[in-house]
Amino acid sequence: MQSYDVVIVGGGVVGCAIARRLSFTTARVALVEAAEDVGEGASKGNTGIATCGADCPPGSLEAELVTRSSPGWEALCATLDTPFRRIGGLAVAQTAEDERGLERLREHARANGCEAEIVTGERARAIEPLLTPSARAALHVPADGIVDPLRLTIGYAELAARNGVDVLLGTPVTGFRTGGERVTHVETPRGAFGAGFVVNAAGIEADTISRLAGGEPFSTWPRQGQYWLLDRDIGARFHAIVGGVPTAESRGVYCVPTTHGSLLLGPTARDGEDRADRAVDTASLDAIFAAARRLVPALDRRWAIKTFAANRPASEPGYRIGVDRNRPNLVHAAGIRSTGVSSSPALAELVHDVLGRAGAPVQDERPGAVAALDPVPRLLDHPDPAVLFGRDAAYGVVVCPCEQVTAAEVEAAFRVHLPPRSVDGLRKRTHATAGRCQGSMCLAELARRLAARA
Amino acid sequence: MHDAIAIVGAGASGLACAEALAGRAQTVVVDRRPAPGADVRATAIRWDGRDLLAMGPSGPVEIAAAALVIATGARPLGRADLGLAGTRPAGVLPAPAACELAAHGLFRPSNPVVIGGGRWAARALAALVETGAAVTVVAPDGLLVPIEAAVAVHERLTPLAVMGDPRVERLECEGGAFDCDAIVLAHGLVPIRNVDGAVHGGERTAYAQPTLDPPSEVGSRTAGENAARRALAITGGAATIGPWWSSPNSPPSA
Repeated sequence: MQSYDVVIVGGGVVGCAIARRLSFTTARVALVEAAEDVGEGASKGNTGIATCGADCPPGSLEAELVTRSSPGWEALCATLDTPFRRIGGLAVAQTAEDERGLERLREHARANGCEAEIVTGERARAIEPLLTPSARAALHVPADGIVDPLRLTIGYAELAARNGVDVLLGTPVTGFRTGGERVTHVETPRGAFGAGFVVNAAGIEADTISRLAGGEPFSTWPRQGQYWLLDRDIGARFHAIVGGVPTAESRGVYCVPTTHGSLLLGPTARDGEDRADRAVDTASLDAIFAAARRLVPALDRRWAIKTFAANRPASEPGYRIGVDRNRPNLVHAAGIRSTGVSSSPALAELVHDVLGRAGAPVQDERPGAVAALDPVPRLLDHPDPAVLFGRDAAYGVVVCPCEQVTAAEVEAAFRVHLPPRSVDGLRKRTHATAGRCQGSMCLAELARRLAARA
Repeated sequence: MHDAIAIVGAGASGLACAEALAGRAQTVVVDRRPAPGADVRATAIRWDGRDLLAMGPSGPVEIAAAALVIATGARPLGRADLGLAGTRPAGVLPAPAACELAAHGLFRPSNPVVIGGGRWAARALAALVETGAAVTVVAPDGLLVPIEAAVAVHERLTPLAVMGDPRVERLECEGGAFDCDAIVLAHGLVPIRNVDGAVHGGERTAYAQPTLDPPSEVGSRTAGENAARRALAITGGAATIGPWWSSPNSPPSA
């Protein structure tokens, strides 16, 4: 039977970030994930905002982890071949009440140590010319950024796998064995694994994992978010993340340029019962579009290329991070409802420290650990296609014309420790099929390349 | 040097455009697949109003052009175009991909629904029946071409939502639902626009993308000739045009 010092349950952005961190140590680590790929839950259905933490509740663990993560994004993403851009965010006030909300937001930002300035409507439109003329004022937060959350999650997991972490996909946890107070084994349909420590990073299923392990009771539930994806033709014209003024109920709808140049509108925030419900409905989508158009009147549905929904793991209180009350070798990283991407770097560091204090062998550095993935240049954002072609003639074969994904990029996606197992997996790694024709032109070619690898 | 008109797409419309321009302007026809009538084999990716950048098996190609004609054809509507709500399960495919994959034995559903009643629906139906599938056709605008060999054809039915996760299980329509293990999107036609800078009204750009279903030779020719006229007007060469177009003084209609 395989035995590990640490078994991480859950291959979302949180679990994968922890796996990467632990992979720099000599600990023997496995990550088990029920789905056939990493990043299949909330990590693939979010805005891709890497917030600097300006609007996190001051004094909270969330605020601490997000603000601690923020300065390091450029350096971290460079090691994970993950696109990141610090484009700044605008919280836009259109009413007198909104304007009072801006004052409160600025106080939050300052309490969190984030740079934030209230600017006039005119100045806000200079920062983002697409902004509505009825903007009265805005809070400008220059340190907010955008990241590709899929490439980030996959990058974390790939680097972990490179450094010897066993990433076991299609491996749901079905139970635990215990001895005295401690969890001793993690049971899966692929057999049981010995576990010195267990990290619960199961997102929306974190409550189930705790219950199965005999840990403390808590509950997680789905907070559904729906989104529109709009074409690069409009997304590339954006200069900043644009949102309204958050209320007590919701942070509201954002217009978020993506690192691929497209534009996301959303999310909604609706607490539900059904954890598997990832359906969009017309009324919610209409409401998102209307809210986004109040911020940016130029938005038009002719740019729409996709709608989708995902469930964030809501819990009360959020950010349940630490050793379980009943099980001294079970560490929770749960209830991270909407800032999992933004907090993941510092969160992984914290979980590493918690594990160390609890007695896990995570102190010693792994000799020869790889610190960075080899970047795969992308035709879409490369300044000089001739350089790419000189490097590899497969850059001359554009497989996905909408997203300008070449055969070189598709083939590189296979030459890794965690290759894609489906066309959707290829999409997450290369962005092929993600564009305006949604695979009409390239899906068959990708499926053929995938079948040839199988 | 800047007199050339770049034409992207060597299909019927693109070649009709090139033919209409013959003797009036220098043309460069670009196509991503090997095609008779194409001068450059490459995928056009960026246009800035002066230069077209294309990437092909011989490397990047930059074409200085006074005008650009987009003649890259049309495709059936996607999910967002159709306004389909519901989940995003595996098994929902655009018709062009479904046809190609079925032909390669990589798509073998047993009871798929084909949405559409035009040329792509007929193609998808034929490809799926060939693999032994029992196909239901939902034709929101009725049948535009003869549809045969379907298990059932439902005309004038509006599809509303796709259900199932992780695999497709059902298509919900106004007034009914169909259990299925795949959905092929074959309804309607929208122009394929893949050149950055010429997606929704590019600078110095004309479009030759008829969306008639079923397509017709006359439709392609007319679209190509109209785009040729607009491209010439963009380049200021309208005065040299033959009698079949409008007044040389009329403003270019982009």
